[in-house]
Amino acid sequence: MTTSTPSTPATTTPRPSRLRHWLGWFRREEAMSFWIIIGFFVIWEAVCHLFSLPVYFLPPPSAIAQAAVEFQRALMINSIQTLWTTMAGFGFAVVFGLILGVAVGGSRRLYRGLYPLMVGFNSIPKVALVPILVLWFGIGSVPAIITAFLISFFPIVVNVATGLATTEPEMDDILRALGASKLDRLLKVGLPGAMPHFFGSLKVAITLAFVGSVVSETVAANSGLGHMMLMAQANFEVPLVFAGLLALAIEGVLMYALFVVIEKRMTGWAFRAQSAQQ
Amino acid sequence: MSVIDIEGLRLGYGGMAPEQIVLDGIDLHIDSGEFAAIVGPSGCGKSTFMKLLSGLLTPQEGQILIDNEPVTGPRSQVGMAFQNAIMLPWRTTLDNILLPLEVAPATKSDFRHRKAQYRRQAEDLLTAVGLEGMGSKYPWELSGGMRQRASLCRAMIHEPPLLLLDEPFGALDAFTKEELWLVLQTLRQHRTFTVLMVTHDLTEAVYLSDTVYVMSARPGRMLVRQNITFDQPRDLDIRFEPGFVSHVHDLREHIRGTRAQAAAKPVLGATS
Repeated sequence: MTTSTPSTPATTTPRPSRLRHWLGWFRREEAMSFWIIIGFFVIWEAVCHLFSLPVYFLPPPSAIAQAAVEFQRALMINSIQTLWTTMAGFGFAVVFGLILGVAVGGSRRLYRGLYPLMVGFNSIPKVALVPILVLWFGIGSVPAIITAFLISFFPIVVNVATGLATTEPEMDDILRALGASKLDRLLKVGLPGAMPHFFGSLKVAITLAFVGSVVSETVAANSGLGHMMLMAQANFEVPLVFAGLLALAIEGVLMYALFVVIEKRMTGWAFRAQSAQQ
Repeated sequence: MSVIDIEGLRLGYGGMAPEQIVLDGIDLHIDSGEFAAIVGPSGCGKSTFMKLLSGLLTPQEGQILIDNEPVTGPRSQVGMAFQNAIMLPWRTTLDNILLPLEVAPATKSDFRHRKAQYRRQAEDLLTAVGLEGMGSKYPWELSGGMRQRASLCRAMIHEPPLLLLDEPFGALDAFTKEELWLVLQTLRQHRTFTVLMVTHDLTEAVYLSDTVYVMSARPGRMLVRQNITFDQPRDLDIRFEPGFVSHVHDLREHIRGTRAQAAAKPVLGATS
């Protein structure tokens, strides 16, 4: 390897540079999150062994990983169940949040009329609603979907309404003086301008939707991660409880990352416009 | 023949009590193809006056005629440009300029069919203001002066007979401002249109206009009308000739007078 002939430099020289390239990545700013996560689990593992904490109190990551492998089927099935109820509730929240956000943002009268009611609804702890939902729809996916919907709905409405309200008044004057219809002003200026707010709110809403569905599953369901963790806890399978928590965290991070990508794709102009002003 | 006829215009915000009156008895006649400027102390209701002309506001008393027709609501006969060249950041410069044609009822229906023709129009305008080939750039890629040029194009794309400018060059540096004065002159050589401009810059007003009106402090009235008779187009150096300087000086004295008056009399709720 080291005795490279002049005729074959191309095959030997990239190797060390590619290795250096990979090592270089671990030193970059983007790799910080990687190191932090590694460090977090290492410290966790160390603390468990150092203070010899019992597994049923705080299991070390190694025990959690073991449980995750052992119960991988149950973890997988319940993760998918939670993911789909969350996404269904979130989907409804996006559709109705957009509609209500446009209505509230477009009309001052509606805004003033509906706002107190919406704030009131949002202040109700969603756990308190689950028994009522079970009463109406029975135990199953429906209460989870509705809870996810209810909890993630509000930030979308507020952000769309705020985005519409921050349209430049002079831009509106120009369009109104041209005789543009209210619909055109909404479609060409108001809504596109509100998109950064809307996509920003989706990141908040998706994580909230997970909270909603799991809360509902924990109170009343026969599947889903919330239900699985409750069962595991009842059976003193504490590592499995933690494995469920980890699965939830992973799902949350993945969905969040997905919406960051979508946000950049859809409203990249907002990021570029900002960096150009600085 | 006059394009704008205004008789006994009075407007108050919220009512006609003395402290609510913003414009008090304005008579104004602007001829077709004329460049008129309105100068006055800040807060005298100049921008309100612009909104009245574009049909966004209706006066309580008096009437405004544009082309002998009373202004009762927004009509696409006017083009507008403001101090902030607000452009939509998700659209290219060219698409920003085409926006009026997309939404104005007269051109909206056949916009898709005639888009190629409209694009050519917009590109011609861009060339006229010195932004040739910049149509594909996004607003954040343009400098402040370039954005203001583009916003002039947007104001003119639907070929309005009347252009309303509300302190259009107020936020620009001195050199960019001079360049844009020349741009405005060039545009007026291309096509005849009437301009009504509100400005704080007296040199700008005298340099560009055929007529300069001085407005009083709130409640706004037209105090003085001054004709500027230098030949168009004008050279930038004209600003240093004695005749020009005395025009500017006269206007400054009038504004100082109305400011002093406003300060002396304790007007209720004056916010100038």
